[in-house]
Amino acid sequence: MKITDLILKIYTVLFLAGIYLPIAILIFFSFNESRSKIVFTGFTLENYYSLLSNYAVWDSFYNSIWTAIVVTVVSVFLGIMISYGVTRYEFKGKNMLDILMLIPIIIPEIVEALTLLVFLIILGIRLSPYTVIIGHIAFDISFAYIVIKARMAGYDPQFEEAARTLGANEIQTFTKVTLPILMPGIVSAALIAFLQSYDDFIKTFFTRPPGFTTLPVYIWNMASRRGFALDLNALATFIVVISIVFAYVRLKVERW
Amino acid sequence: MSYAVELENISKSFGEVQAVKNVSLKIRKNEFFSLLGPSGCGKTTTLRIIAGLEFPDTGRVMLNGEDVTDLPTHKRNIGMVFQTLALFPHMNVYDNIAFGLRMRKVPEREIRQRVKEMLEIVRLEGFERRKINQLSGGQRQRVALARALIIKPAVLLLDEPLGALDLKIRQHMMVELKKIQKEVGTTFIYVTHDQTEAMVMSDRMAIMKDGVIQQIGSPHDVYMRPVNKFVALFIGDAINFIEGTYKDKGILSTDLGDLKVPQLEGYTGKTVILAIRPEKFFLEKNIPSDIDNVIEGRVIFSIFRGSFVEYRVELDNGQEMVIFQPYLVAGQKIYGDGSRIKIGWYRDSAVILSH
Amino acid sequence: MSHRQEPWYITILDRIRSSRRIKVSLIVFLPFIYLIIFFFAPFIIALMYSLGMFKQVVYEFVFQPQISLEYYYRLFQYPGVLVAIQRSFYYAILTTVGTFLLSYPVAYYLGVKLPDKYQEMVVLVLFTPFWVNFLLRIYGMRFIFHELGFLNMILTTLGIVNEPIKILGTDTAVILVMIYTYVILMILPIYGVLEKLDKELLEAAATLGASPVKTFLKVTLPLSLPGILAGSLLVFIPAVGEFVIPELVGGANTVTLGTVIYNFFLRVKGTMGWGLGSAAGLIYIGLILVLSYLYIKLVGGEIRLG
Ligand SMILES: Nc1ncnc2c1ncn2[C@@H]1O[C@H](COP(=O)(O)OP(=O)(O)O)[C@@H](O)[C@H]1O
Ligand SMILES: [Mg+2]
Repeated sequence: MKITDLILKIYTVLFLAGIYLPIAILIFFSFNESRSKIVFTGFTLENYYSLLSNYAVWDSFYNSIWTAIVVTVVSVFLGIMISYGVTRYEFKGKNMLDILMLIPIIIPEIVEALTLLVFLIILGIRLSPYTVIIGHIAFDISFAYIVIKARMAGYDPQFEEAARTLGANEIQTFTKVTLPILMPGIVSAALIAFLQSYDDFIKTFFTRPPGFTTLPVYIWNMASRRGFALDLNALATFIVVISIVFAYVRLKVERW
Repeated sequence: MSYAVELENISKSFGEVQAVKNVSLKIRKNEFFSLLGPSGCGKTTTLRIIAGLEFPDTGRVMLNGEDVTDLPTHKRNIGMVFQTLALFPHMNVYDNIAFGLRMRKVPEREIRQRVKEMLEIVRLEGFERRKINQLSGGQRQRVALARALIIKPAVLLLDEPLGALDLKIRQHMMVELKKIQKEVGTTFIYVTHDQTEAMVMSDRMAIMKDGVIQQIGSPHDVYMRPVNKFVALFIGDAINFIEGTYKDKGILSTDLGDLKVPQLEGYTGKTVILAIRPEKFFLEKNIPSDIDNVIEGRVIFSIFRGSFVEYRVELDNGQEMVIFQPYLVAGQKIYGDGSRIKIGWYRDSAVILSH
Repeated sequence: MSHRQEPWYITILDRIRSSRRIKVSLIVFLPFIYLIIFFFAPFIIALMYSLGMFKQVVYEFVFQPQISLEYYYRLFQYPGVLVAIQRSFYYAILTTVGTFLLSYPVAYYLGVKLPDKYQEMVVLVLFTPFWVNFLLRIYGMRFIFHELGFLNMILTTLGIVNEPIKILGTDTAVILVMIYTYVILMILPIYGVLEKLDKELLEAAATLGASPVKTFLKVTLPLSLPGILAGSLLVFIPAVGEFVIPELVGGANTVTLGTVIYNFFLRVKGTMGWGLGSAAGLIYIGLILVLSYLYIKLVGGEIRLG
């Protein structure tokens, strides 16, 4: 192996170690006895016990999950429709539509969030969990659209024609052929849409009603205080485990 | 007699492009019929109109004597083998083949029986549980065929199904397809741009160009009696053209002198093209005594092609001819480059084409 | 052949099928209306609001046909806003350059050098941390930058500094955390381009007598330009509006455009706060549009996402 390759390899390993470092340190300190100092004073599971009995955490976790599920179902459904139409039909303004569908992904979330908030205020719509959901769907449709469209690009429309010649009507064609073949793409889109919503902080923060806390909002509340909250470290361990499972499932779906 | 498929004055445009122009066809029952023509000439569109995957702008489509012009695909009872095969990737071989029967709510027990029979016909016994991506190109071909045939279609439509295969497998599959067609006795309509495929398999064929049918006939007819230059060039390996003016009594006046040609009515005084296939010539000593035409030329070069020798010969008017001579005996004489040779042919071996 | 009798919904479907217009409208434009209402319309409304086109009457807002730049004028009068905008661009530029320098070798190694059989695993290793909520990762950085934290421990042990240095609350902390947070957005598109790069091109360059350095400069780097461009925009655009990182690891001197918007909306509130916040947000979008346009014009090529 050439020396430059070796250097590159070492650098890459160090880089990977670097991006894991903050997470590793969070987990490390979750076992720390001292709740006031950033010095490891002794091993304890105390932080985990206190996490388990922390009602606010589980409430916000619950909120994150149920809103993300609603958001995912709606946005994947709408994303499938648009991407199906765009890949299957020729119509005026198709290229324009394709570009417009990218905008919610490119526009910085803080702008999206503030415009939606102004819109809600002007229309006199009271903030509620549903305004949060409405906001999430607006960007998640685009994510779902892009992922499913990428899958459909490699999809042969002759599958459907073949089904038709074999005697399947439109509904049978869709349920027996189109949907099953696109399933990996749909699952992948659902995972991404779910994660985007479940993990969202900024848009939630702007469009939530007072007292409605999702997990990221809870983390923000804890983290934006000065000092350290070791409950949060214990929570981090929990979230890291979920994230790894997520990342792994996603990978499996991709290679389906 | 009722036909399996009848097309009456079918036309179809896609925006500016007129893909099919006033096509009429009558395809007999149990016939192996090919639609042959260069890419983009409207073959696929014609086939898809028969399938009901496209609807014609004008004209009628009849299946077994019944007008199906407005009937959607899934009610037409046709089978189709697609160019991409379109085998369902999420199903195994068995489920792919069973699909059409399941749509028809055939009981599972009968499906099992019929799939088994079908697999025997296409020689894929034991492949039921294979995934599509675990099959070779030729095997996929057979699955696609079985899937389309199992529903006992009124007609089987095939769109360049052998296009993606290697030459050897393609040659093998051609014979195989012909055999299967004889065995199941279904009408096949086969689309291809490859004249060899059409010649090998078809009972009859239609040659298309720019959306228009040029000629319909058996392989023998289209080879021996092409109706125009396009068909003459498209069918067969090569052909020679000689221009001239038709005189009375089967004589063509050319710059090679007067040639004896088929005797036809109504051509007198017209400029026409004489078309001669390369294998119709006799050379030198082999020229029979009752031959109609003899001209001279100079060998430019020769190519040994195994079963025959191909000569490129320059005539006295500077025109180049292609001539095939069968290679029958080991050590048979091959005329060297530059040698002058006599070339003879019978008047009825040639065809007169109008301009 | 007999026509099979179909259920009623098939008859309706047949009718829909026969009209392409109806089909496309149902499938594409019906769902797209959602985005029009809840994504694009809010932009228009916010723009109108920032131009003083809505007036609050008791609890309701009424449209008034006028255009006033008052909110924009006041925004720039507001103490610290101009500095904050400048600072935002300063942070965003350093973040973009930093993420590029840091991640190009990694993307290159993964995309060009790493054997295919390890790709899947390494990509998994690379992406997994970014599935962890970014707030937590930023919070984790606080443990590293703290005066008694990991970084200072190393620096003092190695004797580079005598006293623990103060990092939290400074520009340095904000920029480093921004680089850490955004680096994946830079790696992703560059890796995407390099991984698809035809490796025979590099061999071809070598057979034509190019040294490895030449090959890199003349072939690899130009070909990865679309990825670099996409990565830069993906990092730069949100980096300008960042407010979470300055809030979590910055201090009084790290106020950014994002912080300004955040403060107007969630601290000041009321018609004035919302108006100033909207004006700030629209200036942000305007600047981004202009800069992205110039950047693409300048560097050329098309942006590819994903
Ligand atoms: N769906 C379509 N939209 C627009 N043009 C088409 C479509 N299908 C076919 N065509 C055009 O019609 C002509 C005939 O096409 P086709 O029937 O596919 O030819 P072939 O199968 O003989 O190659 C071509 O010029 C092709 O570009
Ligand atoms: Mg075709």
